[in-house]
Amino acid sequence: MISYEFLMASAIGVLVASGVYLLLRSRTFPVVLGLTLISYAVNLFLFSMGRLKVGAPPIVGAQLEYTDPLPQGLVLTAIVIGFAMTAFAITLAVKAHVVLGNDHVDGKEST
Amino acid sequence: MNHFMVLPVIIPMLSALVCLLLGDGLRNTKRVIGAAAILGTLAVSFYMLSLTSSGQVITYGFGDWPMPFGIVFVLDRLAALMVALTSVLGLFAYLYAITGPDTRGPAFHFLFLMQITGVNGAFLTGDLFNLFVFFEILLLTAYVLVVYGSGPARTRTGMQYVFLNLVGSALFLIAIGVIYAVTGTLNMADLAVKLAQVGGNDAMLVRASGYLLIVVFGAKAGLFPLFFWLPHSYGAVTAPVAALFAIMTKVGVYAILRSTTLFFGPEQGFVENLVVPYLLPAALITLVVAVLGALASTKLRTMSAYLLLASIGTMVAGIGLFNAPGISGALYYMLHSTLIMGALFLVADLILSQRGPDIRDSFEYGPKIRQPLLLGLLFMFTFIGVLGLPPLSGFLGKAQILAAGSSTPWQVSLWAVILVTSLLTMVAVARAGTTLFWNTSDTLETRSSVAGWKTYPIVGLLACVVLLTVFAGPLMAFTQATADQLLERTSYISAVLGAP
Repeated sequence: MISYEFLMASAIGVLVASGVYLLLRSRTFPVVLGLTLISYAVNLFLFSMGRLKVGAPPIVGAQLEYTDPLPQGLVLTAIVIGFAMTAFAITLAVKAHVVLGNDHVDGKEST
Repeated sequence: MNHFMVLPVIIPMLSALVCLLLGDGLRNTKRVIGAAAILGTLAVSFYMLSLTSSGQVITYGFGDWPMPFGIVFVLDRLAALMVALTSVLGLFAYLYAITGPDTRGPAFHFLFLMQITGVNGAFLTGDLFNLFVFFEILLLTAYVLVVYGSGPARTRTGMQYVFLNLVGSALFLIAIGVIYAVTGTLNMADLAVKLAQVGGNDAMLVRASGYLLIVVFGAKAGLFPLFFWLPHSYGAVTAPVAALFAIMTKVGVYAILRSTTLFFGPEQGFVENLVVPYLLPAALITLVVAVLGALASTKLRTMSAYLLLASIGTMVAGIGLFNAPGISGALYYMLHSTLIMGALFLVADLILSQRGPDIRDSFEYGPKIRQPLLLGLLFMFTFIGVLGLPPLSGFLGKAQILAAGSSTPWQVSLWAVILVTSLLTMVAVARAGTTLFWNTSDTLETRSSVAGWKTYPIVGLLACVVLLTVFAGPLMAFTQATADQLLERTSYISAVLGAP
């Protein structure tokens, strides 16, 4: 039986690795995708920082066992901010494509 | 309750929202609202300075949650000083902006005020995650302000600026996650207590997260080796935005100073003096690289951005000495250099607009400047400040940092680097001045504009620098007391958590 922690850790690791790989590409679209994957990984990571528990509500006193509610609050903030940032990055990438005439991150085709 | 403490955040935020609701029209109304908001913030910040000068640390817990569970604002000498500096710089940058640059795109007043909101919040907050949130507020507005005014150069650097800072935000969150997982708190005062008690099993985790945090702050400050984004971004943005951005790098410096003194300082168990040994070498390398960059620049604005970087190097060197005179000198130098750098970017804009749209601020043979005496005087006066020559305050700050470095192991390298780079800066500035003002044809550029009202904010900033020099005595007493308060820590911690 694979543990919950192992699954989470692998998922975060794979997301970050793919994200970093995409981030190092030279086109804006893969870079934005890479940023998105990294922000997913960060959100999962933040979510698991209060330790992983199955079947425990984030309410103190409702049950004998409870999950730390703070990381859930924090991850909500991080998701909202990450969403806004991604939206802005995409808009900027489109604008850059219009203004500069290509989708290279340096603004010019490498020859 | 100390409700006034949220005013430096609330005033610009609400005014920004009003400006947004007013839409695209009513430009003059928005100009007045913005100016009133910044003046209000300035007044509050001076009240804060007077309150904290007695050494008391004031806290404001949101929702009155018991500490350390709620979000808290903490006002100590350092926070008051930084908020006041932001307000002064913001006021003059804004006054410059409303002489015309604010017409180049929509929502300028909203963005400018939100930027001030984010910066003030970052200085006042006593909670690590809240610091992240304010970082995001100031970054998100900065992303838009970087590309404000459009154009290929701004779009290109803007894109790189956004991508880099998004990665920085991800690293910041990871660091916060690890710190919370190990210590169970994000309150900075509580962290100072809990990080000292971390057990051996988690030693590597907290150390790694500490390094990550400093990488994020270092990237914001533009410290070597994380400075590469700064010269091109700052060299391309609209002048009043560049002037305001002079405070943005100081947010990074502030975060480094706060974290190294409060929770990565001495007697902190496994994170004891985590980054202090690396700060001074990094600062000196920054200084050397920045001055070489200034020598190699082909445009006045790029050179100004490199000189901004050099000033960061100087003040982080003072912090890196990690003694009270060093930090005090660094703070005084920060007051000076932030204001003078703001003035520098504005002067560069005036020179640029009088040389016409063809060569702008490139160091090339070009048309004569329309008002050579006025701009020449502003240029000379500003650069006396930038170089740190007497009689202006930059000299006093640098001298204090040098004095703080004497009789430490770093004395030789610190003195050598600071003095030699000052000389090289002088060479770079002399080359810039002679090219811009003397290597000219006899014809005037027909498309150039007269400086007019735009001169006054620059004169205002320079007058503030003169005031810094005149009142150097009381100001240095204040920065000295600030440094003592930072190093002693207990007043900050007990103000938040209650006396032990």
